[in-house]
Amino acid sequence: MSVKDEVQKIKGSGSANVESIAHEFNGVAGDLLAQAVADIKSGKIQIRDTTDLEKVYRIYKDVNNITDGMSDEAGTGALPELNAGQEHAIEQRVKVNTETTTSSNGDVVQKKTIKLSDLADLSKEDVGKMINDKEKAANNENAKDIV
Amino acid sequence: MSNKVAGVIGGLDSYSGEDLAKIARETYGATDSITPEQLALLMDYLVPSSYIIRNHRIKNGKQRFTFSVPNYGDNIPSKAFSHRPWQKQVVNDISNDLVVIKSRQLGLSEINVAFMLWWVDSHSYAGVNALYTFPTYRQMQDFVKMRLNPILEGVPYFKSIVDPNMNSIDSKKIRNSFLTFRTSSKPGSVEGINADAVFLDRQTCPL
Repeated sequence: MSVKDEVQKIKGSGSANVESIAHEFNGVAGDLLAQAVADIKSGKIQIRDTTDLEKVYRIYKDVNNITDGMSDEAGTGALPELNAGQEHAIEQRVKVNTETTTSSNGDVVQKKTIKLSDLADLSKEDVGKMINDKEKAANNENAKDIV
Repeated sequence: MSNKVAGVIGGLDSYSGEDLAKIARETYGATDSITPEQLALLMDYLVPSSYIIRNHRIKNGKQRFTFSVPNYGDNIPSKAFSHRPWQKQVVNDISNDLVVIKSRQLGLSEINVAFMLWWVDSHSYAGVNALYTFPTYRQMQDFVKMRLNPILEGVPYFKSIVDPNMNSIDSKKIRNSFLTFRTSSKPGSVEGINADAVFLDRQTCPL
């Protein structure tokens, strides 16, 4: 069965559960990746350069949810939340937009985003102050460990 | 990239907004926007002191790192001992040759290791090699066992990027980078080591 067929099958199930779709899609991608690895070993598929290799590795990472250690300490794959001081240091220098969406189960989800065009408009001085203020807020949060 | 770091060299205005936007695209792919958490992560990898505050731990990996402590002078010794603002200037100074002449017990070995971890991690795309030396083998062994290993084994972030198949007293692999530890008492012990960065700890210099 091709990827297209698999995707059609998933879409046809009528499920609006994004996590479920992602899980099924990863299953399909995982099967195809296993086949691709076998084909690479047998020489049927040739890895010609680092770009080809990177593409295969990226699929592997996505399927396995590998975050290269950049995620939170619990290993959930999400970046750790910023404390109020760190958020304030960023919001003071660059416009932070709030997008509100409704999830498949009816929950209202708010997501904060920064446009890269707004980020690009910052002066060197603004960036320096943002880095310094954010670092100070993180440092003071860490200082709460000291008793 | 490493020539643009907030600190002594370039000052706090080393990076422009365009620099950040470019790095964001290179890191997160073709996107028009990122989250504040993603921006914070980028900034922390660019600046050694920010990276250390995010990832480094002291006291066997149990206490998060601070450069300064608010109200450190209110007669609580643990606060006073953790207030070491001079360390920030040292870790953010990325001169090719950096020599610190100092008194004892200022926490320089701690930040030397913290800086080295930032350096090999943030440059791992290039597969760099760092050499760290101590005057004697015993000092090296004690330091790696008692100071470095607890951080690498106790902090989940570092645990996730250390290669368990190459993690001994004298060599470690972090992502694509390598750390080598040697005694500097004999020239022969560091012969032939491929090193992009060299850290010489505890070199006594009678004045």
